[in-house]
Amino acid sequence: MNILEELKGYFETRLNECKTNQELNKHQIAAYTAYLEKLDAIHDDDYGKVAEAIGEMFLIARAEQRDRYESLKRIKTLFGDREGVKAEQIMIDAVQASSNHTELYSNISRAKDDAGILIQNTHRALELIVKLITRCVEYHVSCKSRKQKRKAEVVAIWNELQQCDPEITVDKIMMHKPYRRVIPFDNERLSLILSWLGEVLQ
Amino acid sequence: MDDTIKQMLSGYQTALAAYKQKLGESHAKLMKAYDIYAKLCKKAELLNDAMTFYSDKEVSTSMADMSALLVELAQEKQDTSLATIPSVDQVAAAYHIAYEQLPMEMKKTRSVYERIFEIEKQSQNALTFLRTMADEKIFLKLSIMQQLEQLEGKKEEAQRNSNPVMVNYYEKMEAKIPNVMSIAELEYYANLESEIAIYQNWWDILLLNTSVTLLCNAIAGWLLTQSEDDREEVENAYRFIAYFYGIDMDELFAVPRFKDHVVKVISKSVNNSNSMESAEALISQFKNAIQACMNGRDPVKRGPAKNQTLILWEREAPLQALEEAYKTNVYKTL
Repeated sequence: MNILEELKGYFETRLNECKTNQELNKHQIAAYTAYLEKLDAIHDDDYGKVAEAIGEMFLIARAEQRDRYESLKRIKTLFGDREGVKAEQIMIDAVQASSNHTELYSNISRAKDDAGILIQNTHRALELIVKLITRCVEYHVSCKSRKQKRKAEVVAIWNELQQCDPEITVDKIMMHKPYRRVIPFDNERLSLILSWLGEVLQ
Repeated sequence: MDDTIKQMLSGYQTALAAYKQKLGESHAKLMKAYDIYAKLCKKAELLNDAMTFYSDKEVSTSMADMSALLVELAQEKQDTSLATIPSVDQVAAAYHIAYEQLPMEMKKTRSVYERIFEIEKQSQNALTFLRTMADEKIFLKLSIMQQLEQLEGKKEEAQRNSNPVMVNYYEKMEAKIPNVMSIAELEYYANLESEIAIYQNWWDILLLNTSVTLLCNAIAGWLLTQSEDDREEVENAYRFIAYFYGIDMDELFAVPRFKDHVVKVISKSVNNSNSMESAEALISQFKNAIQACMNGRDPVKRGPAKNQTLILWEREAPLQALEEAYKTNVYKTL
């Protein structure tokens, strides 16, 4: 068995698989290419030298993680989810700051805590927007004797939403794309609902 | 010895053995780590239960030292004169563990694993094993097959539960997964579709909350109490819906998305059946209740015809064709 040929064959096959989508596999392509260049510089079939050149294939492990979080960041950008983008950037920075396998996995697991809070917050804000609009409509259709109770329910959700998104305003609900994307109504109908919200918050 | 302590010590042992192979047994830091390991083993023999063990001062200092050393050892460069080609069973071990945990019904995924074990038998060492695995695209096949089998039956379940958003999600995944060319692509589509589903699910919930659910809840309250307060709420909810969606009650219960929800969710919870007959009976009961609540009142005023169109992903979504909008709007916008 020719050690160099086997390993090169393996890297080349994985590289070709990655090249089927250059954008999503950008860092893996760079890592496989770097290892192939290192192997090209070795001229005898000594595993010690090969091991020295490729180590524990750390560059590939890091590149896989980098591509994974870059791809998640791309999705969050597509959705206009600013907090989500920040979260994925935290993950990317943690991956990039790693220089060996142990560091890579401990950095990722640490960063997941911070990123997770941002992601949960974004999803929670969407849920609260849906609840807020629902409560506003329930308030509007409520019978006179239940108006105060329904009003209190709207206020409770609004307070929760403020904790989740400190920048929340009536205008933000109208303008912020991620919020608008969970609301089925055009500007005219949403303005009407938001006028009920204004009535409650006065 | 307590099981958790045993597990922890065996974790240290495995890590140290790997570093021994990588750095050689005379490596100073490794020798220090082995000393700490021996100290911990002794302590574990002396202290019977986990609580006494972990609260021992010497144990906690040793564990902190061990953690620090393991981080340092990870950063040490390999002594390449010691390097030997890893054996095939070393790299294939993880596949055996995963295979044992795989449900029996995931037959196609199991057969990919069985092919891995054939390759394992035919391989001289880890290098030839990995090469064949790559040549046969086993890494990608495994991910594809596992995802596809996990999706089996899910679309039908979503249909039964009146969840068109998830029906779309499963349809898109079933169509995309078999055609992906790399694992990164597979992950990208899975994440993208799941993000789309999160938004569309909330949209769908809000639509139902402000239409059929709103009205049906009000009707249920009135049927129970026949009070003026509850009658007023049925009237208000109906007026709101008539304006907001530009439809009367006959049109409301005929909107395919709303009717599907009434048949498969509301009727099922009320009648414990999702047959069309019992759903139709329930709908007619709802309509009678609305008529009774509106008796002697001004007729509802429908909103303009344009209100029969909603906005999904910044695009028009006609009430009559929401299933289609869930399948197409997002892909035109993003």
